[in-house]
Amino acid sequence: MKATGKKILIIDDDPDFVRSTGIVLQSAGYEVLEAFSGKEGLEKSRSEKPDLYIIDLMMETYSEGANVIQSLREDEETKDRPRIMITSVDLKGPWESYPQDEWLACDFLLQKPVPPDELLKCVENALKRS
Amino acid sequence: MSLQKPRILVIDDERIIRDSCTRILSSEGYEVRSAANGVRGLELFGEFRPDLVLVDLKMPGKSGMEVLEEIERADPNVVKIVITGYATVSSAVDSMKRGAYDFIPKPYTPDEISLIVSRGVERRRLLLESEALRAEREKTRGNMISLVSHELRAPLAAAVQYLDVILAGMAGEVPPDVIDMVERCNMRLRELLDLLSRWLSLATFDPVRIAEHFENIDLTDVAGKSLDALRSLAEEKKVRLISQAPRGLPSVKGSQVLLEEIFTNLVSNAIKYNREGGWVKVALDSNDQQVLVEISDNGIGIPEEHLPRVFDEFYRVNGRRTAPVKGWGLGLSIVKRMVEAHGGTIDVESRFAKGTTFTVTFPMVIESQRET
Repeated sequence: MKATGKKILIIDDDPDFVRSTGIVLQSAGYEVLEAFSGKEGLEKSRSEKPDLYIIDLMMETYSEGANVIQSLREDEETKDRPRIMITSVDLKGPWESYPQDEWLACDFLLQKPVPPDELLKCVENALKRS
Repeated sequence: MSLQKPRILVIDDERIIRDSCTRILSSEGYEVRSAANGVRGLELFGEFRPDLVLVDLKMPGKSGMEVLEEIERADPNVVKIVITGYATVSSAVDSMKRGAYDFIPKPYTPDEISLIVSRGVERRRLLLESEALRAEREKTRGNMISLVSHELRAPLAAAVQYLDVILAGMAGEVPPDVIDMVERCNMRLRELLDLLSRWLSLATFDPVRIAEHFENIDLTDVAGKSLDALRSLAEEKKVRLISQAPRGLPSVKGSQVLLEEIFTNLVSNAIKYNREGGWVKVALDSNDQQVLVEISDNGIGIPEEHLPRVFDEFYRVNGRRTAPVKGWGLGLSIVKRMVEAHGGTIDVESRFAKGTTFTVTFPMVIESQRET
């Protein structure tokens, strides 16, 4: 697989999700970085300067992912890097009927499980946007 | 819940009333504060946080009615009692329409005032109790959403995503017969995810919250979108889709997402429980108050004995797993709740082996409301 030269940081406390998502991304030629908490994610963000973030919404706490996004937004260096928010929360059910909360405002929101082609399409779009 | 020492605020410009109220009510064991005008009264309301407020309707400056309204806005659970002269009984009634719980006519006896106030305090206790119960229920509901939505879905999602990776050939080569088994695993797990999300939408369905976000919706547009989304299913089942709608159908107040869900659910049922060469018709119409939706088919029909229960949760006409169409028996109960959340009705008529007709009505938006 031809390398894209793009680095993607996955921040998720579910190692199974990190692994399977990583396989999909690597198969498309992306370099994959892993972080298993919001804190680790922000550290890797500083040291590795990824091109794109894939962030789980609920980790240790219900809003850990949202806090990560907030921190990335407030940092001059990272604020323009694209972010994809991923969650197991049912997006079709009650959530969809209500306007999304401000803190959920994210350009790209995917629901687990994400089919490989859908994930890659979203990653491509997100990178194009940046 | 008991109020340790109920707090009472008296707002009256007549000193004699303030003093007598304070004397009578303090001796009954209440904590009493008083204010000589509306502005001071509202200040004290914020500081003192009373359980009950006595307000004189006739005061110079800020009127009792205004004070009443501001308190009602600030906290509708604070019990408000107006004090009024005999000549203004009609305004007392008026004030009760604005949230006052009771009124005390002047002049009053100590017994009258303590009786009315003790009833008011009892009312406050009940209001706080029901408020606490509501909050408790809301919390349980919230916990359930988190639990079901996240804790139950997450492991399933993780497993499905591995299977997706294997099926996409990203984990190396897999023998064809194993692929078949992995595909079955994937399908069964997705069925479970689907069940969870249906059950969740039923369990957490809150018509009041949903109605807060209603807007004017054109059902012709909703029907069109739903039919478009189901066209490939209809082709696959060799079922013809027919739609009928008059020009200028009145709008209904509702949620686009939920209304599409209602149509999609009913039409996809009509397609699934059909036969090759059959048809499904979506007809829209209106009378002077309602928009009418008729979704009919000439499919397999529903046996008469099942009709009364088709809207029940987890009820399936073909209760066995070997039934030709898979389902959880939740679809129609969700549809019914969604229709009712729109102030509508749903009915079904069916003849076994002949076909089924669902009739749904929604209250129409009256022309003068359309601007909102």
